[in-house]
Amino acid sequence: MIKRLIHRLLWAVMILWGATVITFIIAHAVPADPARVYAGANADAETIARIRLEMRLDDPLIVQYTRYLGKLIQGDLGTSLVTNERVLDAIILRFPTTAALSISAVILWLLLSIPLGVLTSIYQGRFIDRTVLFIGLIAISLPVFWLARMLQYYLAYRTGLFPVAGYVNWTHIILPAITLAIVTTGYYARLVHTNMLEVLNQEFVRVARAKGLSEWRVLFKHVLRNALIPVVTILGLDVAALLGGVVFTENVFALPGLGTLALQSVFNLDVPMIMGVVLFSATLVVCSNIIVDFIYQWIDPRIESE
Amino acid sequence: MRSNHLYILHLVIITLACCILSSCSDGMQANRLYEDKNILRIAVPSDPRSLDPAIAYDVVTWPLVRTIFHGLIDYDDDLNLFPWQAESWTISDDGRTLIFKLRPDVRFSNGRKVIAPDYVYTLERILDPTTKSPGQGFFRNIVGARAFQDGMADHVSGLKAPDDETFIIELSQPDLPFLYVLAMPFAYVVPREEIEKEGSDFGRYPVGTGPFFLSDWRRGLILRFKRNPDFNNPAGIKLDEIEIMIGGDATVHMMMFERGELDIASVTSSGIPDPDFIRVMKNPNLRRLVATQSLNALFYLSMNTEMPPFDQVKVRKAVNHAIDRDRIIRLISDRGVVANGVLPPGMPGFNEHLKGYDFNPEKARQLLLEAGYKDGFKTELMIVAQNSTETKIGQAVQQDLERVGITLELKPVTGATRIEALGHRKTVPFGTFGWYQDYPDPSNFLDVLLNGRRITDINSNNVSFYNNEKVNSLLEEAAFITDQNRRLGLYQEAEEIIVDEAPWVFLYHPNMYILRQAWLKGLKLNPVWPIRYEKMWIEKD
Repeated sequence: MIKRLIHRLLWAVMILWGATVITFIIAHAVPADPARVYAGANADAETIARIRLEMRLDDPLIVQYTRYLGKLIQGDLGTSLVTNERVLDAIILRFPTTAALSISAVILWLLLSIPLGVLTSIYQGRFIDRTVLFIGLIAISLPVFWLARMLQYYLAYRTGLFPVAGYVNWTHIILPAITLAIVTTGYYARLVHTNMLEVLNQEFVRVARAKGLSEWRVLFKHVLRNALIPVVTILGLDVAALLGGVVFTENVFALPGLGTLALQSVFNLDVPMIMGVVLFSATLVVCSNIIVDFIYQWIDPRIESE
Repeated sequence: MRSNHLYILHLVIITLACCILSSCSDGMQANRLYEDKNILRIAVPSDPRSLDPAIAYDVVTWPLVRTIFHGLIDYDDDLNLFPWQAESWTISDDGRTLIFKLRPDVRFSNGRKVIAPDYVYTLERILDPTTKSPGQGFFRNIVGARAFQDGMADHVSGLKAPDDETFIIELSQPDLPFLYVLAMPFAYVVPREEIEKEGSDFGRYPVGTGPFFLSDWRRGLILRFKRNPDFNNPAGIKLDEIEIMIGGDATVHMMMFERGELDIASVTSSGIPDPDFIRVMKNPNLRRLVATQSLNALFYLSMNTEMPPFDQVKVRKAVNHAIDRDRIIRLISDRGVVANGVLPPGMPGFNEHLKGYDFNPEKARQLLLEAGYKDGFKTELMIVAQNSTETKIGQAVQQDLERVGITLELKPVTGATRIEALGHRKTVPFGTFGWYQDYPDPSNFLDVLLNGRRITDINSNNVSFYNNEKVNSLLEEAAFITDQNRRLGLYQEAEEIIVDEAPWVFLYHPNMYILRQAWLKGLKLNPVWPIRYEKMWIEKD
């Protein structure tokens, strides 16, 4: 177990290092000068040149990257070229909003998708199954930025049921969470449905029924638990991706989360901030992968022996 | 049977949706949601980069900086300069020395009195390379500025404070527009002790002499300004607070405005978002809340005069004649006026007799023929991808040029890439560009954008790389004389040559539209400071 954990952690470090290299290269491949963006459209060439020098953007890329990596090893993600904000502080400041949104959305879509998945597997091919499939397919196909804008327009602007945008209190999270839940519930309901059907056909279920267990007990204690194993894997990755920043949803609803920070950093060509947000997101994905691996073993002890 | 159930379910869903939608009112009745105080509520799309006057340099942040800081001089409503924190000023006969007498009653919001050495420090700080001020270029005409920037001197020798109430600036060359430079927020006075305390975080914790002070800034969330008790003219300020929501685009802000949550729909230069503009202007209830101001700005297409085929004057003239500017104005919902030259109508030196180029495809074809492009040519126009107005204009230009045999491909890029690429020598043949004034003087357009001696290989502001010796000489002669009428005459002469040689397609001068609530009073637009929060107040009828 410990050997496996160490092995996974070493791989995680390699993956994160790879993420810094790729992000650094991409950020510098953009044909635009951060000093020019900082100085503004009206600044003259000499001013831009002096600012480049102060920002140490004239150093060779390898020197800039080595400097970045050196600081990173000491836990310093650097300072924003644009706002002068410490990158780590900016991430810590915005993470709670993203976390609140992500967790609310996950709770909402699990509360909807698991019962729907169970229900549709019990009544496979019946009216309820087809309806859930039909609505789910539509929901999955909706672009999140469009859905967010529509919900904002009808449920916030026209009816006033929710705040239009901003983040003053928890009520500002509801509509963005509903947006994310809508586009994801259909997918998860289908996932639970498929896995339930697969497990329902296995021998141990027939044995459980033959032993005289109630259908309720068979479904929820034996079938659902096994059906949720693949769901946990995908949920782990999805949660990590959400926590890394829900770019479109946060932007439409003007939530001060990591997604908004990432987008603004890209527009400002703020390389340290872009690197920081990407590295943070990558860390979340890598960590969640490791955690999911171990949860997997907890749900199904056969996996470790395999 | 099953299909019946499905049909009934769909019917129920559609009925429910209709019920929800029909419960909505068609016209939003804006009500002020917060009745409590005299608080101005607005929204900005993102955090200001900094509230440090030496750093901030955009149309959204400058009006905010103005609420915290003040400078020596400012503009009145007719764009005349008047002493603000200076009591008076004099300029020497040779135009190289400016002497300011300071008012004795001005204090920073930390309670300390402003003295002349504060101004020496403020301008030196802008020129200090470690400040990374985007405005440093405006102050390099001060004696000793370059030596200071290059690390050859500890102080800028042309900045002097012989006593606490006298501030002297010595210039290397006579420079009439330098007074305008001093009215820019870069030159607003800052307290040395606060900067030494906060370091580069001064922009986060600013202390100035303006009517308000920053009481709260939660990044990504809110900015709050409160009335400054130490302000030297408390009677002139009617607002108690300014509260600024951070985040959301113009469409979100428009929704919030219509729900009464904001007092101004959008404080960006667009004013009213494109998709809402026609609806607002057709709705009498909203239309009466709109204030309009012609901006001292120009939107144009730059032709690179160093790259074929635009190195030929006849080709450039042909392109100008081929484009229907009236149609472009209609396409942007009449949010601007046709440009016949470089200078906007609100700019001193504007030449109303300039005729520009009429829409004449036949003449365009003839000019192309004379230039040796009988069958036209193929080129591409660089536009900003995220800007829907530029896309519309690009498509219109594409259609117009097709009629005279020029095949145009649109090349959408990000704003940052566009400005970078255009400023590189011999890189972009044809691109969109816009210029908003820094100050109301023709030099800020003609000299900055079209003086061939200012061309640089990278980051050139002269993006058409236009270089005419006669024009260069006229611009440099105008820059160093102090007789305003003669200066304006020289600028007009230069502009006539420029228009005749057509390095640009002169498109339009945009208007600004401010949509504000009926209860917001004191909004008085002018081309330099379209929005002045410190002059506003809330008053319910």
